[in-house]
Amino acid sequence: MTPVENRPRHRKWSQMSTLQRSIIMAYAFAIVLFLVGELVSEGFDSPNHILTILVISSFVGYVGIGQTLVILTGGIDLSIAYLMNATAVFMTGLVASHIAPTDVVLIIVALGGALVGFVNGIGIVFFNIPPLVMTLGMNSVLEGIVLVYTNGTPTGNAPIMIHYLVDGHIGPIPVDLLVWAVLAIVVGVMLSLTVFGRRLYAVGNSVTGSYLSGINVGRTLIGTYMIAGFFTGIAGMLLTGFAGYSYLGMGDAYLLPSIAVVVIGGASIVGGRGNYVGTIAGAIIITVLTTILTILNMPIAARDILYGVVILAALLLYGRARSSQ
Amino acid sequence: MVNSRHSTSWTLGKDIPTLLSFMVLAILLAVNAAVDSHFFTGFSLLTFFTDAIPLVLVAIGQFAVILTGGIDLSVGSTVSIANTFVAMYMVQKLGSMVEVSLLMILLGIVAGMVNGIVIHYGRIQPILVTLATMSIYEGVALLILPSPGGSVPTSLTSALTGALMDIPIAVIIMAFLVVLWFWARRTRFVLHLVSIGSDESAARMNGVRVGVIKIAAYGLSGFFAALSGLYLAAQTTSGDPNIGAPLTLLSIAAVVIGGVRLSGGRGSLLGVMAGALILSILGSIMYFAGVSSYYQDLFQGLILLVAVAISSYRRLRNRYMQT
Repeated sequence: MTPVENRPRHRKWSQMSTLQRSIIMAYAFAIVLFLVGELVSEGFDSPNHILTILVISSFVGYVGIGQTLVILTGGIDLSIAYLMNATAVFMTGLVASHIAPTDVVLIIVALGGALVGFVNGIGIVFFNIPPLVMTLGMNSVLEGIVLVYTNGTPTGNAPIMIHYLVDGHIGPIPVDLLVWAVLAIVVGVMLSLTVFGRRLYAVGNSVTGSYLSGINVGRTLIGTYMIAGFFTGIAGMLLTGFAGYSYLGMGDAYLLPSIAVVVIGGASIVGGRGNYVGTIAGAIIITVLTTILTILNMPIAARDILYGVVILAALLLYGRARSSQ
Repeated sequence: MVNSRHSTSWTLGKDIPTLLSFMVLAILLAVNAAVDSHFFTGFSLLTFFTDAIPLVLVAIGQFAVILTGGIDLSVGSTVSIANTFVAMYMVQKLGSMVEVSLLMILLGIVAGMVNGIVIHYGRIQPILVTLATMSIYEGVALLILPSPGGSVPTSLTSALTGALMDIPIAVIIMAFLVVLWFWARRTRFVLHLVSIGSDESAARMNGVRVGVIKIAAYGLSGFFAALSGLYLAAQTTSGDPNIGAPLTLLSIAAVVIGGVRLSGGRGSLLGVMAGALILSILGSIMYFAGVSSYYQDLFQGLILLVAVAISSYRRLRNRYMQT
């Protein structure tokens, strides 16, 4: 670290790190989108509507936790879609069958998510399978498990507890946003204040360098995938709370946005750079954009195209690699 | 590149990952023959190969990109563009069929080259660029045809999915692709693809025009995706803006099962074709064995993981456990 970076306040733009600049740009972009929203439809920026948009953003945000952690190590997690779906159908299914008390079911399902992450990690570390392939295969396997377990029709509803976490209010504040804030703080602290967090960044920056500095790379990676699986499991449960019940394919719509929000939030897809604060901005940007396009009554075709163009624009703005020539 | 002579080899004895994919395919064919006694009769084989062709074609395009160390997540959407384009504009006239086919192929190549240009000149990771264009191209397909429908000339269907003197057209296409590979694998272009995947900066220093070759690789991917969309249109006799979506991840799986290294620089088209056939045959086996189709994804995933685990595990010098 240079002395300049140790000075806490009033840093000039040019002295900031790439990540800090990206995150500031992302939040600025989010604010611009909110302003555009107000232009498009009056009342868009009313406190109530902003809260609603934040609540909707939180779901991509939850899914983005696991993806952020994995991308920071230089990996990628494609098993997110059906891991969420699996936790959703197992949660509603097990609760409906009264095998165990609801809170026990919730713990078991969340640990199941961690177990899936553990298997991902084992495949990547001990069998040397590229993360993309390992998690792609895992997604397929989980899809099979979901189909076989539900026999095509998931049963049961979201438990009241989960429903409250997503839909409840304390005064004017949605409980969901408090949950998001708590999870964000947990992830933030883990990434920047714990030894594990520092190791995670180190591995993402250089596997060889980490190994030579005495970091157990394998254990760090397996730990990362386990924690990511755990958070994705929680995301699946919360999403079920939002819908009220579980259904097949409910995680599909979140797979690619989960990657997009991490990258829009300034993280590097090759690892080592990024944090969850950026992912939050990414989640808000994607959600506000989708909301505006919906209000404008755009056909799905135009929405898809704009969605892609915005991701490309964000990438061109701050996702570029250094010149190799 | 450890040994350039074998990097695109078809002498299977030395190419263990490709050999492995052929062994898996042979076992699955035997299983299929066991559960379906009519498998080696004309109709079953015709159906099997005809059903497999779309994935084979997309996987070949994906293979060209993965050889360079890239990845193309937009292939599925490009398939949809071609598919809807054909269903929307092709009519039962020879002139129209040729014209629309050529335009469609051009569209596919342009879509692919746009990926390559943004990746190369924008200096953005391939997975991110093609993630964005996947969404854009999906939108384009929806613009062409908002909901499933349209129609395809019947002569196109019979020309592409029928048989010529009892040999399924699909088999002829595959045989042609194999012959094409035997010629192409020694061409400068394919060697350049491989050299970029092995070590991009070394390739550049040795005078490989990395940008041009990469853009061509993505263009090739779009080309094959367009052909796949055309074949799907002939097969289903209509268009569907979402038809290509599942093919994206399946094509990556087929390439990887075929023993191609995901980081680029090594692989054989024969392995890729075997990988695509392996993924296609699973559905057929389950149908004839009376197993619920719900198990298909499970087995596809397991085969992918086991195949990759076996071929990666041999490399004892593990990235994460260097000794």
